[in-house]
Amino acid sequence: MNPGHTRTLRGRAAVVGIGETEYLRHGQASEPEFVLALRAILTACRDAGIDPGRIDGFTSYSNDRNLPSRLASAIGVDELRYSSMVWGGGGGGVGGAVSNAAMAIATGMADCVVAFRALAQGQFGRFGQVRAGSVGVTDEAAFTLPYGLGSPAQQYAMRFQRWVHDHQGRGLAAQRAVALASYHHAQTNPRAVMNGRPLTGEAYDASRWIVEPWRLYDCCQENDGAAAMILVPAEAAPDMSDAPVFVLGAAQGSDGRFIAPVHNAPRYATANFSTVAPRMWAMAGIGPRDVDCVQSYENFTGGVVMSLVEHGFASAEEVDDMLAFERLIAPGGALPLNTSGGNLAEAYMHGFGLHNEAIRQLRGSSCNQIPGAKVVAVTGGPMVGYVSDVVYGSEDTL
Amino acid sequence: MTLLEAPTSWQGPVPAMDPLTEPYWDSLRQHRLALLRCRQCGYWLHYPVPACRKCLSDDVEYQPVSGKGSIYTFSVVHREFGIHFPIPWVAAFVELVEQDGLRLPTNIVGCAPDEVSIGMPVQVTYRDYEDGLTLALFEPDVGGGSGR
Repeated sequence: MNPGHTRTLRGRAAVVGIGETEYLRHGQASEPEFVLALRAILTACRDAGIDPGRIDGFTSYSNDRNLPSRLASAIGVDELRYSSMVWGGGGGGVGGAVSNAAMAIATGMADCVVAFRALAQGQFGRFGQVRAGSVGVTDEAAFTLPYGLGSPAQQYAMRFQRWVHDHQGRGLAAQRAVALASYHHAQTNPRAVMNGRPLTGEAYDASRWIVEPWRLYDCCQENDGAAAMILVPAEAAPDMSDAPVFVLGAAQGSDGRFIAPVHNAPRYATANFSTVAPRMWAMAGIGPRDVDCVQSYENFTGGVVMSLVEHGFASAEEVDDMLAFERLIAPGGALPLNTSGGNLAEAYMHGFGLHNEAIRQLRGSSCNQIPGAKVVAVTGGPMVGYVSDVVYGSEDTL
Repeated sequence: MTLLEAPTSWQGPVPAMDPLTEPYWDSLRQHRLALLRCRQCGYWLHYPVPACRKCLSDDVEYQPVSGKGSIYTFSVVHREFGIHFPIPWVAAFVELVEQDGLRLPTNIVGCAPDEVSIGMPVQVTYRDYEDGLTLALFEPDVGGGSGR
């Protein structure tokens, strides 16, 4: 092994382009999902100032339906050199798609990789819906679906319910603050589906239960749209962008005892970042105190609470104080959270919007800009069997 | 006070039968709860797997359990999510007295939603549906004493 090479992604790849389509409520896209994917990718190319034909790799997650071979053909790619998929539902793989792109670049497998996610739920049906009347379910589902445990909502509500129990009732005030912070930030974000629909504490408290302990506003939206990000080698980035953003650290996977045998796992009441978060911090050589803001995947608000604790942003004992609303608000809060409105109030692109928002913060172009932001952490997919993290930095963090 | 109750007829997904899992569903049909257990080390295995997770022996067989346990976690659910439950309904994992971490996905019936709590002692009860499907639900264990 060449001793001059450290096995790390730190500073090896840079983000030079981001893009997204208009975000819509689920089922409202007037174009096919494939067209949405193309539009987001082409918007990211324009942002990067590159000819789409230069793209030579595609990465995605959550079993995205838009195949790299089709996309490459549609945008006139000269040579397709790389593609990868992070399997699994939901957005647990969102950071994995970005870090797989960075890995391909760092290892010379590709030079210009687009990570993306596209969703048109009118065309393909709603994500994560139980199909009533389906016959012959197998494996774990044979023991959960007959008891109605088919939606992520019930499965994850029970994880957080147990976490709250294990921590003497803490976390419920924090999850309320998470919802209010996301809606607050969406009010200055013209891309946000919930822009113009502010949420008050009173409205949150009066909202209907979905799955206790989660009310309507604790649950992410369902949306149509697409988002994309273009990564290139770090050394190529300064010529391509005035404000390149670098991958400082990344990790993906699961605590082995979280996933097997699923709900009989000893580490049940967690967001599943106990192994992934420390690996991300170790690669980046920084910790939660070095972060200017955090974009934390909200499928449900309680999952954000557990995620932030597992990343070291708050202790379980003080979680309701450390994650108070005032502390979560940009620009002045101690820990600005989901500054675009996130999955709750911007759009649920399975977490991809959180990554694009991290890039905007580090370029100085967020709708809720934190002055001088240099480091932004993004968490993906709390409570699922495969999660992923990326922490990004500006040029002077290298 | 409205008691939680199971659906009167079953319109949701049904389990596929295979040699590993069919004895479990057969036992429910007889209103017995039997789970897979390792004959070598005594470890209970649920969901069913062909070999013991603890000692990797494939000498496993179904044995009856007491049907008593406590609520490990739960959620009062206020939507159907595609399955025809009377709303609200309670999704739960019940931890059986036989072994730490031996948890069954289930529904809680026979009490009010706001009476359900983590640690509450429960016992198994059965509901028979069309086409030979029987589900194992749990209700408050009025005798108590099985809480963990």
